[in-house]
Amino acid sequence: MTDHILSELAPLVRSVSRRNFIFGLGTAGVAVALAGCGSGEGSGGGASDEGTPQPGGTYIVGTTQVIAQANPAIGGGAGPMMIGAQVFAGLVLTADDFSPEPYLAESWQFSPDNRSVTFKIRGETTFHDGTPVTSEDVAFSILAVKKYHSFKSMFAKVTDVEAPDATTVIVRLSEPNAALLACLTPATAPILPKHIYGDGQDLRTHPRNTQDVIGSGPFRLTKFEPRTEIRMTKYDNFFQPDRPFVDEVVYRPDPSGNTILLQLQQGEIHSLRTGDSVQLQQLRAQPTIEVADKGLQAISGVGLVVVNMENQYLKNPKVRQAIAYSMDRRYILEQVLGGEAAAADSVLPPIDQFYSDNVTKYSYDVAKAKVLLAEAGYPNGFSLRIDYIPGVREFCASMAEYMKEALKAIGITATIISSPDTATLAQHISTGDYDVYLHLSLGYGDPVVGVHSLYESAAIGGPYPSNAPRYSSSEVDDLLEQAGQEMNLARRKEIYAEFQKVVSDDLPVIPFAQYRPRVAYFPAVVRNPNLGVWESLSPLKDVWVTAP
Amino acid sequence: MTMVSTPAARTGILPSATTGRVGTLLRIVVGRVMRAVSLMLAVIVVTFVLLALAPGDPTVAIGGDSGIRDAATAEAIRVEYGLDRPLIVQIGTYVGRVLRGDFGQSFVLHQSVWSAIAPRIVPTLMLSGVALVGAVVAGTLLGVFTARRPRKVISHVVTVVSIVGFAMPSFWIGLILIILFAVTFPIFPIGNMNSTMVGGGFFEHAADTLWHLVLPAFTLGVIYLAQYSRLSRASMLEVLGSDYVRTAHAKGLAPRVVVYKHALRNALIPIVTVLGTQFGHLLSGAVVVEVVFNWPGLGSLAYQSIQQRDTPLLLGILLLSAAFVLVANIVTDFIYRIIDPRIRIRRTM
Repeated sequence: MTDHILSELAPLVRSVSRRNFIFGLGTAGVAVALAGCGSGEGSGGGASDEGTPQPGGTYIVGTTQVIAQANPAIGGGAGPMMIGAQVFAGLVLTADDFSPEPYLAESWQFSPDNRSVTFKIRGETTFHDGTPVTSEDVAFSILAVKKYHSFKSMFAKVTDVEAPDATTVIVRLSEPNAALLACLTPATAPILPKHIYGDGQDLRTHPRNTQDVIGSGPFRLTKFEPRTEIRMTKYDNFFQPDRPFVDEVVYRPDPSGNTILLQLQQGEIHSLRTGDSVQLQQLRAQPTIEVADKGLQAISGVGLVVVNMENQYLKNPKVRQAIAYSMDRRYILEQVLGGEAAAADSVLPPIDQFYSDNVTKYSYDVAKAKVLLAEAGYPNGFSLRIDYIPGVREFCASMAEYMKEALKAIGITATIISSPDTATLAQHISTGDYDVYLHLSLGYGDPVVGVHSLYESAAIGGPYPSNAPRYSSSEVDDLLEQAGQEMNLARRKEIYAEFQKVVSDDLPVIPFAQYRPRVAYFPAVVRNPNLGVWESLSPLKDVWVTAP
Repeated sequence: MTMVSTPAARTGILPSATTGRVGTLLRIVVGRVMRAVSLMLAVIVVTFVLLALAPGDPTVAIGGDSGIRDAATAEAIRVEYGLDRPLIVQIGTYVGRVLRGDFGQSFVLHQSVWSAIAPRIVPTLMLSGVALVGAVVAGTLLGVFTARRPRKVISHVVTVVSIVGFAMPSFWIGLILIILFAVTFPIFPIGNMNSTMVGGGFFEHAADTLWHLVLPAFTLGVIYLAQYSRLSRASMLEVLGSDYVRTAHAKGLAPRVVVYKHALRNALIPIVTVLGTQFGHLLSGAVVVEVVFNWPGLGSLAYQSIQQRDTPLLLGILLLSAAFVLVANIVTDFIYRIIDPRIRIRRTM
């Protein structure tokens, strides 16, 4: 499925951004500004992993999310993923270079035709209730995720999962799936205990999603009060020796986010993730806080102006090019997005492993834009609507305002339509009742999961935001199909590069910036924080703290 | 029951007077309760309609966990939750359920509204209660103090500080206090009701809660304090100028006795009136302060439920607050009748 930003991972940053939107400078902004002991110096990225890991202590994660349940097998966004990655194990983890590394699976072997994969899972691994983890649990879990998770493309090609013996799992595929391993992390495919979740109840409403949650991950869930505190204690029989280091992980929700930056500044919480440029600048100004500029690729993406290609004006490529030329990227990056975002000319973000710079670029040129409009037959412009939802404030609301002005400069009169939530926006988008809209396209670990369906012609008319631009290109369809099945990484990168070039020429979407949240942490206490591709949506087994 | 014939009964003086008074009281109680019930019904209807008119789709809140994006699933959810039926039917169903004590299910948390609300009541009562009691006591004493010395500089200072305190928005006071006493001089915690790493003992836990309570209670109390000190000052000035106070002074009573025993008692009546009204708002009056301090009470829950479009939860909180206000008003009314005989006589006549 394409980008689930607004209903899926958006909560990750949305609540923080919305809070800023509502309170503006009135609250957190003023609070930190007034606390003002900032030196103004930016902090460098990177984990402080010096020293010998010290076991024990409590790691406190601040969040503005209310995490409704703890089972990421049914989706639900970043909240359940964060908790689920601690409580449940997955077959693999994602290394910093995006390659899969063994976790619950010790090894795996693809068949010569790449239509089946055989996993060997660790023996002597137990769930938190002492029951052994077997291949039956793995098979049950993958099929459950296939059935219930909203990221349908993850396991759409899985036809069956077999468990010939206690430690062997065979995943059968209808056709090769290059993204399969990327989808088997604990956050996306948690290994559930079949003896608990296989009792015939609907997994989406299973009582054990919130109470007495049992997995085989590094931490046991000991308290689940979504609006006040989620507490997890080290699982002593975790299958990786000497891990995790910390005794406890605590999530402290602060849904309004008013003082969450101050809490981090004072060390009351140890880490926090945000994508809001105002917050990031405030955090960078604090000498007691480190902002890490690495990792998080899986939950990063690009901001797009999505164009309805069935619109009578916008179906003309010259009109789309005119709009692309009307956008001043430097102004957008520095002013609209607050200086925290990097430029992006492609539909994949520069930090993605498949990013290609070899795309058609549209530099700011109002005169050229006007000529193109005239050539298209609209020298006096026309009117259109700009849709957005107030999700990530700068990328949606602020950009909508900017686009209105940019379009005005080339003679197009725009009206802004703000939808209160995803469902309302989705009604406009999936029925094609829109002209352009602001969208965040995230990767979720692999383009197959996050990107493909925004451009596949077969996805037109599918659930939001499947092929929102109503873009139909047989060339792109072929490229995406090949890329999804190509097991050779170098060749796969070439195919995605070609895809990016074609899309940049056709312009069903106009990329304007890379969207990337960051992790801020309290370096006086935190050592070796998770700064990988999935950040804290992967197990916190290597982080350690210097305070009790 | 056998009637006992006594001389008083025979003359018909005592029993008829008592029966009359009890009857009147009963009539008033029944009348007030009936009025409260009809008011509650009105509150339910109005809040239900207002929430239904708010923009946005509740299926987002309900389906958030499973990532609802397509129209068919959204429609299925609407049918499942009865959101597809006419508003009047939805209201009727809701009223019926509320009468049976069922406030429905939270859209977001998938638990009963009551189980989401119940653990929030005590923290809110604790915060508002401490703030209100502290403010009433301190405010009244400040008012008396300034009323006795209306022309002294200190009196003017107290007046100005009170007005400034009353005028400042509570979120601003809260943030300033956080910056001063939690960041610059880290004496108190920034927010929340308990520390992450607090020991398991009862006293340790209670002490930790009290430590967390200081700043939010003070923030909330400052607003109340200003009101009470102004009110008690005005009321006290009026009473101090009255004849009976002059008489008390003339009798040679000590000034302290005159002020605190004679004057203050009468000056308290308007304070009790305001206190009664505010008592009703104990559950709902601390939204902003709770949000600023991340205090896990009903106010912050209401704020979150609005943000997340969790209509049943919001309705539950609103109804509980409204019911509390109504009950508090009735109770205040009767207490008022007890402490001030003039009201009792006037109303029963």
